[in-house]
Amino acid sequence: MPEIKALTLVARYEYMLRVKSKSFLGVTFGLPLLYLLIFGIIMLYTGSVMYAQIGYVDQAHLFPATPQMPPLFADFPQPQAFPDVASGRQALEEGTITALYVLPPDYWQGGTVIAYKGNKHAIASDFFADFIRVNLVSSVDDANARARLLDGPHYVSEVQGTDQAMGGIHTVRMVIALIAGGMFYLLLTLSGTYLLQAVSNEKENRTLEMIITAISTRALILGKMVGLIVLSLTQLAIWGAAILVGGIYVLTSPAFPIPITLEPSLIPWRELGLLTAFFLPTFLLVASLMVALGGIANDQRQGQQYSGIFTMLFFIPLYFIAQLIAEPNGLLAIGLTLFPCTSLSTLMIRRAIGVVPPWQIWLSWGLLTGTALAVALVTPRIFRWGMLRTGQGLSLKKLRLALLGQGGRHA
Amino acid sequence: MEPIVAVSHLRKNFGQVQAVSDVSFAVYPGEIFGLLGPNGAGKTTTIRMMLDIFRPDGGEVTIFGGAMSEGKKSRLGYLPEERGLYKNVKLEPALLYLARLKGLRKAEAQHRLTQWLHRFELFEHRQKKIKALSHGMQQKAQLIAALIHEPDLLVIDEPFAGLDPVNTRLVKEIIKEQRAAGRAIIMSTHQLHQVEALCSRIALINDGRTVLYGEINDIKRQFAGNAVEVVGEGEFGDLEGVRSARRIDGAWHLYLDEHTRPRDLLRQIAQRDELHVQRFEVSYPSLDDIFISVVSQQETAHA
Repeated sequence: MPEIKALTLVARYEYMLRVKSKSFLGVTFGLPLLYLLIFGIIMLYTGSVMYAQIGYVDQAHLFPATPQMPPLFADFPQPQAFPDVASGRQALEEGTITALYVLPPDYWQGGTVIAYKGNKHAIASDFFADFIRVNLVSSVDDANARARLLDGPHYVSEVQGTDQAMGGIHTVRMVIALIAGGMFYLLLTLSGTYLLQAVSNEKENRTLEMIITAISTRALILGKMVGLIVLSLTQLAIWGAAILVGGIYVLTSPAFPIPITLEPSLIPWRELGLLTAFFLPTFLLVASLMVALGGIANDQRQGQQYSGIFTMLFFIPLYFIAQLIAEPNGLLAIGLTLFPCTSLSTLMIRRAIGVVPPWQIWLSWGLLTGTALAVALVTPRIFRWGMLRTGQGLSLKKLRLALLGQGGRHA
Repeated sequence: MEPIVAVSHLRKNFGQVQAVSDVSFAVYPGEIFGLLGPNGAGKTTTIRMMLDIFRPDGGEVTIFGGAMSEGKKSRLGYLPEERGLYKNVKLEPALLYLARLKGLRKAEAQHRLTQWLHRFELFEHRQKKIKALSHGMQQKAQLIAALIHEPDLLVIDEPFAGLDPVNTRLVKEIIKEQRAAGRAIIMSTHQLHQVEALCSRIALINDGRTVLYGEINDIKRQFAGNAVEVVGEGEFGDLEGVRSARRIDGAWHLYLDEHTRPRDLLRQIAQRDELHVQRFEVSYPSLDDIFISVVSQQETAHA
């Protein structure tokens, strides 16, 4: 049978087998539903808090007769003014308001506000601080000056020696790139886990001998890789759709710090291209490792134990994220960029906060791709060797023999 | 006639362990060939080298006139020693997948599978997960996977394991049908009476090398001089030159060492008054006897 046909058959079988399984459907649809449920409960609770009525007593004569509402809290009920503290406290006791703020006559000197709070007061103080700020600057005539006072400065950092600038629209692009990077990482983790399961299952079921007398080991491994990455993409597409809808909602919300309209120029093509260029060899590396580990391990549980060690390698940059942010061009950052297991995530972090010299990107990609190809080349040999030794313990000596081709035939 | 498969002086080491040191045989179309040997003799390793699962360290395998290639794999059917099917998958889709990997189109695979499922009385169970099937049913399912694409070479390792007498008879019928259709079958089993009933030729592997090879009748004739069947009264097992003795249905089956001829034994019996002979004949030994004789002889030599 032509290898491509065999590969397609294996890929389709792996995909269809798992996409219809209860566990896959449960995780794929159950997880977003669970988050939605939790988010809904939180929103319901905080909503009831957020929309609670507050009151104030203005002894400093700060507020005009018709005070302005802060834009971020435009949907909040207008705070109720009380002529004196006693009437305000009575309303608080009666529950008609949830918090009472008193601006004493000497507010202008020290800025002190006395707060009387009931049970629901979660973000009332934030709201009241904004309420004061908006009404304080309303006396400034110049609209620009008012905006600057309220918004503060938007920093744009010129990065030394490059044409790149940080901040503004660049930040938005980087956020999108980081989300995409996160998705890639999730894709890696999911595909790796599925692949490990698939290979372990093949071993537990002892089907390998029958399969490799029908098709090549390469077609079997690649078929599994293709089928399971498509499976992971299906899962991500469903989760991604939910994130996308939420993301568009947040990005275009008036409350978002940088007012933007969604347009093609926002898509960080350069970053996505770079991510893809690094993702492909990283996926090959992860997938090959998982196939090899699945072949070596006696069962799925043991496979997960082995894979846990390797997975930790890929997550090293996250443990050092503070150091990477503090010194994005330091020795640690460069080392992690060049190390194949950590290059993708380190690069994502460094590109988000600064500039990575092109030589490091090229060298990192070269090392990653070379390592991935080398591991992929020896994987079928380890896989076949491991698959035919069910129930036996692992020893480095045996593994060495397998790599030298004395334990079984490679594809 | 060109052999379907020929192995010549195969050799395989696993580290310091020599699994196969010198195995040679050829199998032709339209024959059932028995590959025999005690546990750990190197049968499975030989089969794996023959089917390109292992790479031999030495020797040569010729299959369908040349080296193994991906294209030739669809002409192979294999029931491995280590049985394995996708346990969490339903029977029908699992077998369809395996059939398709052997190059059958979907419709053809489905058509043939339905026929085989009926024949093996598994049709009613086709929507059950494999793990829910009995051991015998799983064995039959695995046989379907080996047969469904009508291979020119069928390699079956212990095909009767786990089968009841009715299914054993059915599998024997199917094996004979495959032979009648001109296919080559290599059968590895410890059930030597089945080998005698089905095979025309055998190779006996012991300690990694071929120690017997040829037509079963020729081999029996070769060993005939060293076994006699005696019916009579007395203890015949302790006669000089008798390597082993068994009583079957009242008759003594005596296996002689290489220095003792049947007439030497007859002379001894005639000289002992306590032994009374009603019948004495040179017998063709069973494969079982030959197997034990050859293997124990080699063990003694090694010791």
